[in-house]
Amino acid sequence: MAPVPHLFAACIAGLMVQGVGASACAAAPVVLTAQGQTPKLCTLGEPQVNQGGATNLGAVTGASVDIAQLAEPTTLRTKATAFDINFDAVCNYVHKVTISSDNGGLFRATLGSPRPGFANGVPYQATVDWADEETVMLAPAASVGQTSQTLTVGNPAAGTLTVKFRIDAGASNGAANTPLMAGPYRDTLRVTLGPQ
Amino acid sequence: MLKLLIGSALIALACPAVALAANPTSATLTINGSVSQACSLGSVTGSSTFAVTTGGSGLIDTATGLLGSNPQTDGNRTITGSWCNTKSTISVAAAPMVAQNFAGTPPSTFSKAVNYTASVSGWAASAATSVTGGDASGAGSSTNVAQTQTSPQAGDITVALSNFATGGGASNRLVADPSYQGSITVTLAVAP
Repeated sequence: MAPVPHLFAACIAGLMVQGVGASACAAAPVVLTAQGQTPKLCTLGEPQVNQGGATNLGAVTGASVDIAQLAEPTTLRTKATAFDINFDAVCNYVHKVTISSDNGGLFRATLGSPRPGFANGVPYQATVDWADEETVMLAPAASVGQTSQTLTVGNPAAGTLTVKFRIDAGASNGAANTPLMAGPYRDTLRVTLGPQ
Repeated sequence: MLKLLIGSALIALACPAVALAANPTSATLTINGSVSQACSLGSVTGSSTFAVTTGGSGLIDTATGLLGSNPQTDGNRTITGSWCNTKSTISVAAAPMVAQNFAGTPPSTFSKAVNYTASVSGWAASAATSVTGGDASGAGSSTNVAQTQTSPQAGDITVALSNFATGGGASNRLVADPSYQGSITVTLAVAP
């Protein structure tokens, strides 16, 4: 099909004897479009432990965090522990944050039933602070197993995602202030940003 | 093709009494015509949609979420077959590329708009331009500079887009959207 020119009816002043009077006039405009797309994107940077405001924090090696002393040396009660872990994070669409614990608490590496009068697990809380909202994951150390908590975010967001790790003094999977058995205790935290 | 418009001609005949004498006689006629001033804007060769991409994925750098490096179009566009039979003015008015599916105002540090410059060349000595001025939501007026061609002109017009930048500031990240769109309107008019 031949292109149709954008011709406006020529400026006509009607029938005249001599000369022409014409008003300014315009051809019909041509409209073009600029088109692009932005894909969905979430990014999560490397964990950065805020050592300045921490309590009972030991060595930090990459993504591995040591608690300086999990138990009081004389009473073997759990020592209070507190530190924040920051992540540079971006999501350019509505999304959710999920924090999960592999074990559901800090458990002694060699399990089995604890000796009478002793505990072999330490509960803790991990709070996710992101996009002006918070959610708390409890890792009660009741039994070994994964637990998780999700925060839904109804807007794009960018900035610092903070995980606040807290252990209360005397907390254990026995009664409060139960002495802890000796040995290494461990859990793995996972933070995920993604679609709702 | 130009159409010649001929105003009505006034034909006056002298109608003297018939001269029976042998002297030659003559009559004078004046024929008048006029051509109206007119412009015609031709047609776009190929697609009338510019595809805008960057060195990243679509419009963004996936490492940062910011506007990607070296944003550019898939080429200039040509409007062929335009003419004006008198002095004319060419102008362009562009609107920012705005995310079509993101409702409302984007959150702080985000933008749903991309600004750019549209240039229209080949008609006047200098290009007519439009620089869009959208904020993070795409609101804001464009700065347009028209150009005049003092002589009758016929030929091709080239439209080019450049200088892409995130609305509201380069530190804003773009919200995800499969369709960011902006319009570029080219106008050709008889100049007063």
